[in-house]
Amino acid sequence: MTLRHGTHHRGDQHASPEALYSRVVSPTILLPVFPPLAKALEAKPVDPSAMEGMAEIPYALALRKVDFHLFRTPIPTSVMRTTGYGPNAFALESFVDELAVEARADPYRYRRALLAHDAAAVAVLDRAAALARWGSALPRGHGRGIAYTEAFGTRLAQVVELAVRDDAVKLIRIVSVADCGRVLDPGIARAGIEGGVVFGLAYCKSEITFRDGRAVEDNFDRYRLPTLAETPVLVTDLLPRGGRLGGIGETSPVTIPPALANAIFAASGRRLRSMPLARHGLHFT
Amino acid sequence: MTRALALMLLFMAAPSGLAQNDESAALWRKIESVLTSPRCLNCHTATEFPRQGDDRHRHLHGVLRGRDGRGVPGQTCAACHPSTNQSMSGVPGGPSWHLAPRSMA
Amino acid sequence: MLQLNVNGSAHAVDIDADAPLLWVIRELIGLTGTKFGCGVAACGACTVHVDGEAVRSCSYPAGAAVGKRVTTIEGLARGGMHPVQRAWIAEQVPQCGYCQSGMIMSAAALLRAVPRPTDAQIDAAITNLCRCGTYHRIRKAIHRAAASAPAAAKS
Repeated sequence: MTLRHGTHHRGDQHASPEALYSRVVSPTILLPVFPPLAKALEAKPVDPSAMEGMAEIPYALALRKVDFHLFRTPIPTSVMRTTGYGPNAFALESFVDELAVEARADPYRYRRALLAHDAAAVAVLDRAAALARWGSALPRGHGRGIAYTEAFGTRLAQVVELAVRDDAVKLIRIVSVADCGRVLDPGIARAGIEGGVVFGLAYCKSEITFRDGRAVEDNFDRYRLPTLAETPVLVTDLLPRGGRLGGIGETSPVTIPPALANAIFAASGRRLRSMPLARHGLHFT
Repeated sequence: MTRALALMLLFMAAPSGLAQNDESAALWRKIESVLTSPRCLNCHTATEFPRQGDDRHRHLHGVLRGRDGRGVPGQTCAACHPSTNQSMSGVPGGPSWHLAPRSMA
Repeated sequence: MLQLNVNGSAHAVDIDADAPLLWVIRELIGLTGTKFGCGVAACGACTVHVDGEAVRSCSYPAGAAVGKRVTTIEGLARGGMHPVQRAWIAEQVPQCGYCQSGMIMSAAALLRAVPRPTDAQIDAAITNLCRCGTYHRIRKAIHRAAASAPAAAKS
């Protein structure tokens, strides 16, 4: 179970950001699964898992400051698939997209420039853009969104292509490219990535709310999962470059919410700074 | 059909004095509450899908009318709605669960 | 005592007529291939066939199955493999596997009624939930099963 956590960014310089300030607010993720953390949290209230994907980011930025506020709540919180990477990547990858738009730059090329120091990252990003036919013409109301992350030792880029019509979001195609170092079983790796895409879509579709001290969504009739009808064409590629094994299962859902939000912006001009879609009066169709 | 019936009843209850006006309005409200009950309208619908609940939201799981009002092959109404109310799952049931034809919307 | 026919065998079960068929299948008869996912007909993991039609057994009263033929995942293919099961293996559909009994039963029921379904027909018929996200492989496998079984799929 996760609670929304917010980040705040300020970038100076539009063409290429020089400095980035982030503020992460999150309840603990790690404490229930690692009780020895309690002592460390007393001394310094920074949850390491909630900082994943924000303490370290893949982009070349000289100056960074990250503040963390441990949000204390009576609701028991713990690890959910993607741990801290998911919420942090949503904030970062949405923000990088906003920076690109401000700089009147293409979101794919803007990221490419920030990743120029890492050939493996560029390879993953390029391949995802190519498979997604990034830059090719789309009908009115259609859009593509891109997002990149390095999570659990794996470089991953995803492109979501969709159409927005009034309050309905129709997914068309989702491309995922992963470099996890070494692949032991391509079928399982692919299935793990593609399953993760659907799991990421669930983060965009539903959330748990509380009323009178208990969760409202207590079964699948209220916590709505993505369906077969809502799942688009999935295109997946693996680019293992050798070396250490990186994670697959928890990595894949990470970049779906920001890629989706970026695609909705491209398609409709609406910038979503939170999930799920219902908060913005939108729904999958 | 609902509208036609309502108009007919209203015409029959046409007042000829103030007292009759109030009485017929009260009668009409009673009739209206029955005719527009979600329990009826949810399946007596002109849409391609049933509605659910007192708030009449679109029926979950993308359930559709299908060609004969009994759902689509692979997901008929009867796949989930048994012949009697099911207390364990809370799913309502009745003999031959299906949508009313559009003429009866 | 309810007299039921499950996978071709007669069973006499001592349970309320209102009890969910799922309980009878799993607890009394001991066929655990059919799964409990939600108990409110929202997920489809409990899907079985009653007289060849897909039914969510968690909300189907056992009494309503009297006099009808109940087929569970264990009885889908008599001794061999159903085209749907073969397609599931060829496309390597399952991950954790929990939803797949229900998925396969739903797919088999669809193919029985519509031997060559379009994507739109698959979308409308297969509303079973899969948390592992195997949906796109399920779609491929259903097309594959449809292509491989020229006669209407057995059930």
